[in-house]
Amino acid sequence: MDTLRPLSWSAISSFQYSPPQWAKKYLDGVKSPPTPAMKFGKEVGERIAADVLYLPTVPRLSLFEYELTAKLGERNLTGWIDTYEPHTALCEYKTGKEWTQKRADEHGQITMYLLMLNLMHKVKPEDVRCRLVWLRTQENGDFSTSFIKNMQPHIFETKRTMMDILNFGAYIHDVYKQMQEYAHERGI
Amino acid sequence: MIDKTLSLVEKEVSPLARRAQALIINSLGTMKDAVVFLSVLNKKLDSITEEKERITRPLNEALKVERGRWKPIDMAITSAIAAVRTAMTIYQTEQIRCAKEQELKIAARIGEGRGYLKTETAIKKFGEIERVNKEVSSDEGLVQFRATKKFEVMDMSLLPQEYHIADDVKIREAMKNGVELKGVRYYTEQIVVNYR
Repeated sequence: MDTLRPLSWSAISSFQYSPPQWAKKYLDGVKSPPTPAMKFGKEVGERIAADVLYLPTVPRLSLFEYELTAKLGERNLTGWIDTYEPHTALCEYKTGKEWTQKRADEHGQITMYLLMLNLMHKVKPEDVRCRLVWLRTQENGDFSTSFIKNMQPHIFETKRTMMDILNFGAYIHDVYKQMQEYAHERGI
Repeated sequence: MIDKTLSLVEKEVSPLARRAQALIINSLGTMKDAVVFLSVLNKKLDSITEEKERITRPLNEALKVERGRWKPIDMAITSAIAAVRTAMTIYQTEQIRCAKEQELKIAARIGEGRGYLKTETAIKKFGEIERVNKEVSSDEGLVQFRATKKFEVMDMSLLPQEYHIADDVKIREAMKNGVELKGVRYYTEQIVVNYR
């Protein structure tokens, strides 16, 4: 398995969801075309960054698509924060049907970004204000996705501690080991 | 046959019950009507109870005998299960507490300079902490542990009033002994005793 390829949140969550699906994408390089919901989510993120009049109540910080690259042991980690205020705040925009406070609190992507910020800049997770902004969408039954009628952004404030990011770091080591074992089983 | 009897009784009782429900007592006359309703309905209930118990009494007796026959072994097994479950919970909870304690110690050492740990080193140490599995399986079955939040009231004086529950049994006991408590209203109500 290519240990130089940076590990992203989407690779980790893909592996947790389905190792065969992960292998198809990350080992065999077979990319599935984006679904309408994924396309819609990407477009929304881009428009928020480019147009301040679009969804004006959505929080915007000074940097968009802020790239994170960190090293954890021999593992290279990578990620992009939707919008970021250096060392003090981050926001992730989410489209889709169902987000709850509990889901936001347990969302590994935010924990991973805070771990990377700590590895890169020694930022303490407790010092970063984290928000997950949910923009509720619906599938229209004609292969298209749109916001629900009168959609209002739902903002979940969420926190992480040093313990959370350390545990996440240990979890990354575990997942990486499982990925290697899985790849080995497939003869890679 | 039983259903036929049931429907006959129901036919007889239903109009009576409806009229009794609608009864308003506002004079000696209507109070007398109420006595009639109460006595007739109680008599009906007595006869239904008698009929019902003709069937249920032997069944209950059989149930009691059968339950009694199994009770000693049932109790022995139930008590053994409870003991095993308690021992498992104590062990698992303690192991998780120990792991958490080690995590806290490691996290507290993060910083720069001598004696402190880098984040990466701390993560490595987190990975080395011995942890219990959430699931333990055997040939006979498996056990999963689920973290359940629980509580124990430690200081009633700190607990908001809305979460206090009055002890009705003790209050009644005190009342019978002639003790009247603050915050309790004592009153008298005429309870009906029906002779028929």
